[in-house]
Amino acid sequence: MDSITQIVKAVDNANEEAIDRLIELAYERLHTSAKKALGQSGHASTLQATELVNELYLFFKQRDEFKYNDSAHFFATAAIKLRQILLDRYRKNSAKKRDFGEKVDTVQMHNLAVDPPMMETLVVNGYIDQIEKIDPVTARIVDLLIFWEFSFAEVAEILGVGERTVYRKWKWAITWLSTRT
Amino acid sequence: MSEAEEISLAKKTQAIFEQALDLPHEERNAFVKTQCGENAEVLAQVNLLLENEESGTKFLKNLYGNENDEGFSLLGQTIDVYRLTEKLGRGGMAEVYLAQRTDGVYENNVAIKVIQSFGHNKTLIARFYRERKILANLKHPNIAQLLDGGSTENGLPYFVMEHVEGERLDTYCKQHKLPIKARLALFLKICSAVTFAHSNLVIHRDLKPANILVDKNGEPKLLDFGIAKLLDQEKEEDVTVTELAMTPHYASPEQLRGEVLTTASDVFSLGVVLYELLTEVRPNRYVFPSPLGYQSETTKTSIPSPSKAVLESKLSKVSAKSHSNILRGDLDTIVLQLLRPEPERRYASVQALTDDIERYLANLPIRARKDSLWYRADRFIRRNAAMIAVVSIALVTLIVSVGYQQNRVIQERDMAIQERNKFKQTQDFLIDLFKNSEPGEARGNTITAREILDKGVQEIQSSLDQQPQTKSELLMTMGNVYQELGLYDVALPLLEQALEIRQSSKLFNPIDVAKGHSELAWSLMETGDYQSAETHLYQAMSLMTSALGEESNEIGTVYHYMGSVQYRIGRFDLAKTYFEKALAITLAGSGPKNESLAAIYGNLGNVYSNLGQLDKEIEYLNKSRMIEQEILGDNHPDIAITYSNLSSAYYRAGDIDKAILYEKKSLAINLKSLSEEHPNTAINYSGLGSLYLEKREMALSMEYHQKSISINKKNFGDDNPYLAFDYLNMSEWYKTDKDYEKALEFSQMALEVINKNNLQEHPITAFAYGGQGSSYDGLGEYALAEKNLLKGLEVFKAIDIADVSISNLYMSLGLVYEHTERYADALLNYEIAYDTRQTMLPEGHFETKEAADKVAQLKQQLKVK
Repeated sequence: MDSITQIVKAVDNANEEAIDRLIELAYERLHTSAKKALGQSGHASTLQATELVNELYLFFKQRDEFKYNDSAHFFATAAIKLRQILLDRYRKNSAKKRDFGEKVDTVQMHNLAVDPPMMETLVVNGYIDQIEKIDPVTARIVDLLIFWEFSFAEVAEILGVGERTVYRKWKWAITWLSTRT
Repeated sequence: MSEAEEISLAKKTQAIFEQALDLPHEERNAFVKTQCGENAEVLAQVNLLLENEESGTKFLKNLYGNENDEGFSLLGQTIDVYRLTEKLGRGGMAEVYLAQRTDGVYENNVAIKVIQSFGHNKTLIARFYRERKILANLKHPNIAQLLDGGSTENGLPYFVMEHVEGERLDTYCKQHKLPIKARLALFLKICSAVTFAHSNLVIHRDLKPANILVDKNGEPKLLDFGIAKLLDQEKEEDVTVTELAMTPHYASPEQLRGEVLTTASDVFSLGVVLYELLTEVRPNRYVFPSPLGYQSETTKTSIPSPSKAVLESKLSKVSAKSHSNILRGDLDTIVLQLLRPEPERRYASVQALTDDIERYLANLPIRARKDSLWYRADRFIRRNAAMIAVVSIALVTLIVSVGYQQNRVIQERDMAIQERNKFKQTQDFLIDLFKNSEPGEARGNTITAREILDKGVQEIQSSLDQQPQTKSELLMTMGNVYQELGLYDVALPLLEQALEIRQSSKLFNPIDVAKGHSELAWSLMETGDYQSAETHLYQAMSLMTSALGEESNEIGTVYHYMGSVQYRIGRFDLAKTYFEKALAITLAGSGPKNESLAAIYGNLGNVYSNLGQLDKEIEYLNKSRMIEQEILGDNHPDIAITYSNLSSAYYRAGDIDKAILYEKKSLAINLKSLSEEHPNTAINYSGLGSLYLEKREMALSMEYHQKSISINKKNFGDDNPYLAFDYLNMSEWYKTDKDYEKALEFSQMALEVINKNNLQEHPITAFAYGGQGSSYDGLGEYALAEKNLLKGLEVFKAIDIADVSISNLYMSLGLVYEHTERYADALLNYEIAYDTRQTMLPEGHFETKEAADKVAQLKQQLKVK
């Protein structure tokens, strides 16, 4: 497979096949990270992750005609949609939890006791949107590193900034986030 | 602090924090102090961040929650009589435990699947019970058997299955280094299980090696019908993509697209499984259909054949080579047929696949067909919807006897984007068709395109009754191809049949039916049956409007067709309305350069021509031509049409030489890319006939006109509307030759054709009366001449369009009055003709000058009197 950087370059040269490749690649990556984003590991979350990624896919499918200026544009679009999907899901989950009423049993209590994963906190509180207002580039960096699990080098390539910049901004973002949560 | 202030503060701190990061720890404090200066707030924030630098890392650790958390566990508990002894894993929304009966009734271990969710998720519970019901009915040696089921104390549904102790199919084959024949034998057993499930109306939908275990006796067992679906008993809302719990790598393209699934989807997944069994590599396919392309998946980059793929496997070079040799040929063919993106091109059933593998094992010829290299033989099939037809308007210039047949050519290449997917399937069919018609394979010598097509129709008619969708689509495509070749008599019954299939089968939605109507309408229009065409288009419109509203891409095509029909009936304002609707939809829906857009521009140009707006006509025609040349190259029939129309525009602008030039350009392309007998070629001939008449090259003109007549008769029969134009041109020719008897005869023939075709609303009717009138004038029958010319004017006024041709009627009438010495009346008519031409023709046009001369002459005459 081509390296991400090669694909990204091709995409930026408006090569449509390259966008297909990018989506393929994104799909694989997203599938892994979606599993984590759903706060579970192992086999159980695979299905949910698949559903999530499929939902994202539907979103793209409905935008068949939509053209992406470049790979950064593509990832930004995907990330925003992904956050929406996750947010809906987290909200539904918590709604479900509140719905228990008297039927709560020990098994369920055990589940409730666990702190929500940071990813959930991040999405539910709209922290990335807040970062977006302060510095859009940082928001993109957070998206790409957290949701897509790209490396610093890859993120730098996609966004067309230096690797060191990515590192600094990322560092700021996680520190800023840790003072909020 | 307001939000804006907070953001501004955060921006400042971010900048300083980032710079500080690049410094060694000991220098940071000083740097931050200098940077923040008096701003205590920023200073405090930056320091807070720097102090917490490490906690960022902690934050990351908790990003995804505790990754080792396995959720709740029922391990060690007893459900009913089963004690859960071991956790086997999680499958889908459920957890799977190994369990033993505590009452000793059943010795063997069982697997217990307990739904993991919180008990209020109705969909999941429904799914769970459904699964139980399905599995209880599925008793097959190669399917893990359902034994029991119920709910836990907490209300969690569970069921008990035969526990299969074994290895995953792929691991088993690898570890035992099974030879290919043994792998095929295992695979056949899996096939028999799937066939059994299919015959019980169950689709597995998640076939993959992880769901197939091979037990210690070497028997494969199919697990996890967790997402199986009862084929025709599914009463709940359709399972959508998002609900689908599938494994993308093994999922069929239609599954990835979220379409309704059939057994063909399992056939595809079996293909992936077989591919892996035979090659030990995964087929390199896009598992994510592109949101941008139409079918990027597996169609754009074809899957390498197993015999090639195995060379990339981890097998040693020698054994990979020998594997490859075994796979090459039949096994390659079988596997690739399984993996075709279009469901209907795969094996029709798992049974058919089983048969083929068995034939292979028995050294019999297999039934699967190779995809051929004719893939690129797309000359014929490049475009689906045909185009091109002919309508001509005779510009009967009654006095100067210019009978230029104004070529009105309507272009069409629907090919709306949404059609392309379906087109792909039909394209594949045609590819097969070409492949099977290869010389040598067919009968050892060259065969014509027509023979290939005829053979294709035979094949469609004889073999596709089980697949009405494909059949209808192919019939339509073939109909369009014949139509494009000008073979309307063959095209019509095919399109009628395509529509009938759509109307009678429930497999089609209203849009499909509407498309059946509109394609048939186009062909009907081509043959001159405008009434039926219009009726079918109204039906298409109402179907589409109720299904999709008034602005869908699909309806854009119908508007376009309707515009064409109205245009040919002669209702130009209505035609303009429809073309403009189509234009708006096309401009909004697709990019700036596509064939539909070029066609609509061209048609609008034609409409403007008839509405007498010459400048707009040339503008639109050139817009059309530029798009066409860019996307089609210089030698495409569509460009020929536009050239022909431009020729007509230049003629009316008074530039005969330029008109001849463009008409000849058009003819050259048509002779090269269509044929001598194509309707479009007839248009060229008729145009040249009229242009050479203008030049008074009488013999040449006659030759061209006769060619046009014979082609039109041959293509459309003796009563077709195009002949009306031809006959009027002939009438003009004879008038110019001063043979008024003949001229009258031809104009009467024209009127007959007009009446037979119900073209009374078309300007040609006015021209025909005009032609008759001026013929009578030539014969000295002035009363009849006046009567016919007035009738012509009446028709023209009833149509109510601004066409400069009306001036020709006034001129002819003026001439009749002159001949009968009614000079005042003559002058009045000449003056009206002059005014009309002065306003509507370009400055200095010879016709305007001619009218002016007549006016001057009559004034002189009246003065003399």
